[in-house]
Amino acid sequence: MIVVFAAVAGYFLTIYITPRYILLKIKFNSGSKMNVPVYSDVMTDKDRHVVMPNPDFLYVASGYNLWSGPIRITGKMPDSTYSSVAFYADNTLNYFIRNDRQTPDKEYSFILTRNEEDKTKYPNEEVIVSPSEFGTILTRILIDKPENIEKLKEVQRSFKVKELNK
Amino acid sequence: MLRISEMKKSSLILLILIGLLSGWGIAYYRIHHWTGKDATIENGCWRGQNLAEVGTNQLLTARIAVATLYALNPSEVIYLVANSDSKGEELSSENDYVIKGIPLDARYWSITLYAEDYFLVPNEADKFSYNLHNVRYESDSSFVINISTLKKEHNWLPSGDKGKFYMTIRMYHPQEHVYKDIQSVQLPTIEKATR
Repeated sequence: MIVVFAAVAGYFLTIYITPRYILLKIKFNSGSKMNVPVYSDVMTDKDRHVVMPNPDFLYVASGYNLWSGPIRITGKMPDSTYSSVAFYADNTLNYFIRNDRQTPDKEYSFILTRNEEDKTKYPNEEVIVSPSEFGTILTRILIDKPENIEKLKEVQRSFKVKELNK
Repeated sequence: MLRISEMKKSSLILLILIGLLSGWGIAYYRIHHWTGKDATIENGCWRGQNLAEVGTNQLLTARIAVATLYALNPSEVIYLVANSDSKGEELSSENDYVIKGIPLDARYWSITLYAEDYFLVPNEADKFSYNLHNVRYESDSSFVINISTLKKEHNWLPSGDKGKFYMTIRMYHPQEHVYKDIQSVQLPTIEKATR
């Protein structure tokens, strides 16, 4: 009976820990800092931090840490092609996404926080409440034509993260 | 008496360890060896999971983290994976294949080849996928993609030399009918070809 209970505990513990372990492993292996964006070039076979990279996209990834308070995320989206900003919790689940079609003026600004009360503190801002202290923000920009890549890289570079309590 | 008590304590710890390890082993196997048998979306050789269940289904959440980390919500994109050809035989770089299909009804779609470790396959052409913009269409608007370790004239997708591989379809912002009845969508076929 003890073995069965321990096995059930081990099973569910492994399932719970796996996504969080993977996220930590990526952070550790990539050497990236929290709340600092990493602007990737076009994906190739040499990119081996995150599984199933899409070679059609330019990515910006930023691990976030809300320990010292909310952060502001700003950036632009291209006029002619698909783009999105996606927020992932520490269990790697996508809890918020905004794409180019939902951003008519092609610019976005979000406050990311742990506290619901920040919605009243920043009444004129779009406030997103994160389900976890840590997580990842991932921006995707589709390279529709190879000749557009430099222009799209400029859009990619517009993505910024700022810690509001610093 | 003390010895018996110590022996019982050691046995208890051993039993707990055996249990924990067994649980870990079963979970590890179920997370890392997805066969597609419990797929919630099936169409030909393509399999997928209803990602709306992610979050409530912890096993699926762990599988997504391992195999398709940072997947997006189904409202944004539909992912489909094939690990076998249209006859059900496992995809392997020992064989050549042709993917035949018609344009998918989505704002953007692509077909990408991944190695068994879910990363892109090294190849001399640096070619890993085709999408609606860069695939070469036939005169009837269909397309044929050639998977092979050997160079092909058109739509060549190198499969490397590492054996088993996966194909993935991404459909961004698919049309409403795709969401409603994905089983009836005409997806590409993957047929073994002669070298």
